[in-house]
Amino acid sequence: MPEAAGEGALPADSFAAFVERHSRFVYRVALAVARNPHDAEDVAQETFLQVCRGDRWAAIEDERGYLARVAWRLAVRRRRPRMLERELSLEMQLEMPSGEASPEQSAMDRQLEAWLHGRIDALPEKLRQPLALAALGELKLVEVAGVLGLPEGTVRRRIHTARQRLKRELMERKGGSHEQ
Amino acid sequence: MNNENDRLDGLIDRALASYTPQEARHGLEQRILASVASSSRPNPRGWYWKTAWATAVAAALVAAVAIPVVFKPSRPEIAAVHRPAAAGVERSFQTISAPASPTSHIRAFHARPSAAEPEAVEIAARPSPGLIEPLTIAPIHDKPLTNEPIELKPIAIASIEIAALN
Repeated sequence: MPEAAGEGALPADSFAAFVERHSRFVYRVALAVARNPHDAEDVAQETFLQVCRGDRWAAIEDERGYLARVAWRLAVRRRRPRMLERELSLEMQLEMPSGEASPEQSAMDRQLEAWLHGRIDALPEKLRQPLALAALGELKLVEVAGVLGLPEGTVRRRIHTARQRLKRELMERKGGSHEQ
Repeated sequence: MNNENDRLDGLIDRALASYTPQEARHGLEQRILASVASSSRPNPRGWYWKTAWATAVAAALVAAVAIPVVFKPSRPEIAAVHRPAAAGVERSFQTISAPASPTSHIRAFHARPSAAEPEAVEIAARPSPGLIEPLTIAPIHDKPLTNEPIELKPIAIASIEIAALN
């Protein structure tokens, strides 16, 4: 428990270390699902609140898996309607730092990425969530399966389907742009 | 074809990598710790609300019990009247077959017309042949049993004559 908790609380330094260790990861899991930075931060706070309230944080064996499950569950509840998400996704994309490419190329890349983010957001949740969680790069496939409560094979298949769908849409976009 | 496929995969990978931005706002850990600390601190107002709720529930229970008792609706007392049984009235257990279907006379009779509906009274009062006819039980005239002397006539036995066959 943090210092501000006062007497009778949990050991402050260890809980602070626990939060320090996992808060960014929890935030990213929440953001992958909720697609909104404010909601993701609220989810991160709520996740640690739940873990602390249950007084079980010290006994958790797989801390990352457990926190990811809690954060995912809370974030799913908060998920906003799709129209708003797409707008937010574009906003988030604009905040991304640009790379080393030329301004024109960078602008085109950002446009394409923003479009792809919109297509990812438009995927059905059962395809989008495993894809987004796997894309974090911090969870193994078996951990993603654990978070979603699905068999690993199902998660693998859904990620593959999601990628195939995105690829097809990219090809259609490319074909459409060539025609113009 | 493979090159195109790889290029598309690369595009998707890049989009996925930037799908979830890495960084949260500065000071995320502090905000989390602060929220946990504030929620774990005993809330003095919590006791106030608990007490208020308990009082309100208790008051509602008392009211639910007391109101029906205090504001009990006054009912008119009904005096018990004992009527002597009519002398000489005996029940007859004659079975009367019901009519096949209720007619307007019977409906009017059951509707118990009031004085405001004189025509209904008239209909109800009108004798209906075969339906509302008063039951008349014909008196049974039983003759008194009299012990008359039984006359026994003497049995006359005629003589049988058997004639010879030849």
